[in-house]
Amino acid sequence: MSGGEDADLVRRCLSGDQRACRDLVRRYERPVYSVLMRVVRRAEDAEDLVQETFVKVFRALDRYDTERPFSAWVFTIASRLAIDHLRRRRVKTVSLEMSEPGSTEERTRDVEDPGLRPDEITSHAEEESRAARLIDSLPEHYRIVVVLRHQQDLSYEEIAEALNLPLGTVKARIHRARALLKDRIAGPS
Amino acid sequence: MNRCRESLKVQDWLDGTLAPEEAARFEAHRARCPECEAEATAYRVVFGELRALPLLDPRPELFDRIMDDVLPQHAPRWVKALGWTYAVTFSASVATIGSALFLPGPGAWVRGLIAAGMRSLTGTGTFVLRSLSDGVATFGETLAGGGSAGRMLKLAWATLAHPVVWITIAAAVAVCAGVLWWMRPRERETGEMPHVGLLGL
Repeated sequence: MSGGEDADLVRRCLSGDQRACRDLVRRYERPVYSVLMRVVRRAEDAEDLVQETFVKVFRALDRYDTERPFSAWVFTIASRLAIDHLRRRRVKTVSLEMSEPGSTEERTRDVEDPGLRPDEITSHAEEESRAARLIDSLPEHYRIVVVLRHQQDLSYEEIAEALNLPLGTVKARIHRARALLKDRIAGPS
Repeated sequence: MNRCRESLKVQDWLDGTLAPEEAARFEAHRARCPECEAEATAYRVVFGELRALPLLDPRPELFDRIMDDVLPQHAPRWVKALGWTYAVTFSASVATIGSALFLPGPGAWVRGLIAAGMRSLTGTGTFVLRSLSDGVATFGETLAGGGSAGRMLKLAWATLAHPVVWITIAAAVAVCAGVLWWMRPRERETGEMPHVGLLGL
């Protein structure tokens, strides 16, 4: 997705060009849905969140800083909505993060979140690649950073800003997620 | 278990986030360190899998749902349906009246159609009125002590058993249910739309 084309579409949207608005939505609908679906893993919830994302994007379009990549801005809004959604959905909470007093380093418990029911996993898995199944096997706070990094090509800094996390935490999570994936690909030894 | 500390740089190296000099140093090290080479090979597979992560397709109607929200002049579906119904009915009425007035041939079949419709309507009306008057009379008899609850039930059952009545009731229920389903509240933000002004609409 080219930043120049995005900026042009945004400018035309702001001047009232409805075709540009449609093009902008068409351009980002699938990537945003993919990220949200990977994170929340329920199609209905993901679609509601995509809709909510675009409503927020268009409401704040006149405040969008064209110096920033539009994609990063859209994924920031989508990611925050996804996190809020997961927070609301998680009724029985288990803290996945442990921090030691005086330390900025994050340690994480590797807990498999229940996510999809077995039948839902099967129905998705039948159609999806091994990569998708691997991603689905990750805890949700790892899934979101890995998807933003590897599917949407966001930089560590952009992910940190999108998720409102320290840069070090983002790096640690991505490294840890990849290490988990490496072990899972290698299989039980 | 990897014991080489340099192997910690494998992910950053593959990710392209190592500084050029550091990347060059690591590459030189990797060439002579089997542990780091094995680690790099394993992570290449991970990076490859992640690159292969497919984009997912939402249902096609999501686009319309989004546009309903972000374009204010984009009328809701029920308004569009109502508009089309009015337009089609109006066009059909104009065509029918026009053909009845100006074309002798079509005028005959239109008159025949209207007559048949009127007969059907009159028949239905007669039946409904008769049922109502019978019901009122029986109800009056019951209130006056001249009837019985059994007769009332029998009459009600006989009325409901008539195909025209239950088809009408079933159709009315179905239409009401359909309209209510169509107009059901959806979980979406319906607040003010500040972009209305900025889109110039």
